[in-house]
Amino acid sequence: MLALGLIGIGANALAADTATVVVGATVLSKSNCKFNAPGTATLAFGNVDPASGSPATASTSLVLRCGGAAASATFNLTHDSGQWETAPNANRMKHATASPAEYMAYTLTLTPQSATIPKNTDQTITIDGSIAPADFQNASMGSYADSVVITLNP
Amino acid sequence: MKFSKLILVGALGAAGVLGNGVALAADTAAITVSAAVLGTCKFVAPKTGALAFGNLDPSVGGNVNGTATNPSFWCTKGASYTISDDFGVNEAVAGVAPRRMKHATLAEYIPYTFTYTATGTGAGPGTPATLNLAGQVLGTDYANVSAGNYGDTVTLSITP
Repeated sequence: MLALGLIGIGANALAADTATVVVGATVLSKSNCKFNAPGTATLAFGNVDPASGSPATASTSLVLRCGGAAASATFNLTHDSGQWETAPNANRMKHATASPAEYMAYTLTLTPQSATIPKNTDQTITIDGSIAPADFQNASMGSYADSVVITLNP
Repeated sequence: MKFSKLILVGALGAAGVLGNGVALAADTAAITVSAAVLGTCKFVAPKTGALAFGNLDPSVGGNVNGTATNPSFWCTKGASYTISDDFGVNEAVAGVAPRRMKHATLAEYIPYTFTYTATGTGAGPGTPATLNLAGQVLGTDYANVSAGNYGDTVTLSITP
C-alpha cells in the first residue's frame, strides 16, 4: 500500500492531472453473535388430531451469545419463512407424499426476537409454533415437514 | 494529489474489511419443523340413528324395508375407515347374525337384516359422510308373532 502511494505521487506530479475519488466505509458492529453448537433445533408438533378444536402448538429453543469489543450487544433475529411459504411469515409444511402437493400453514415466533445482552453470556431464544384448527382439521392424514433458516445479526 | 491517492488506498482497504465483516457478522441456525396429522374418525352429534320398520301387518304380509335415519360421521382426509356393529342386544348367539328385535314385554323376536357401507376413505370433518343404512324384515318372520312393539339397539363403531 505504501509503494502504491509513492508511485501515485510521482505520476500526478508529472501530469498535473486530478482524479475524483469516491470515499466510502462501513463501520462494523463491535459485536459478533453466534448460535451455540449445534445451531439446530427441531420444532415437532407431534400428532395433530383433526377432531381437536384447539391450536396445535410446539416449542423449542436455541442458545446464542455475543462477543466482541463492546460490553453489550444488541442482536436481531430473522427467519426465512421456510421452504414452502406463500408470503413472508406465511409458513407452510408440506405433506410427505400427497400428489398433488398439500400444505399446512403454521406460524413461527422467536422470543426475544431482539435484545441487548452482555457479551459472552448465553441467551436462550424460544421458538414457538402454532397450527390453527382450520389449517389441520381438513388436512390429509400423514406427515408434514418444513425447514426454516434463522439468521442472527450482527 | 498525494492526499487523494492515500485516501484511495484507504478506501480499498475498507472495502476489503467490509466484505469480510459481513460474512462474520451473521450466523444462521436451521430449524426442522414437523407434524403428523392423525387418522381419526368421529360420529357427528347427536351420534344416533334409526331404522324404523313401522307397522307390520300379518294380514298383508310381504317383506318390509326399514326407513333409515342415518348417523353421519367424518374421518381424517385420506384415512381409510372401517365401520362395524355389535349385532344389537338380542341376537341368539353373541356377535352372530341375525340381529333380532325383541317384543317389548314378551320373549319373542323378529329377525331383521342390517346393512351399511362399512369401508371408505375420509374427506375431513368439513365433509361428513353418511352410513347408507338399510334393513329388511321378511314377511315370514312376522306372520306368526305376537302383536306389539319390537325393538333393538345396535351400537356402531368406527376406526381409526
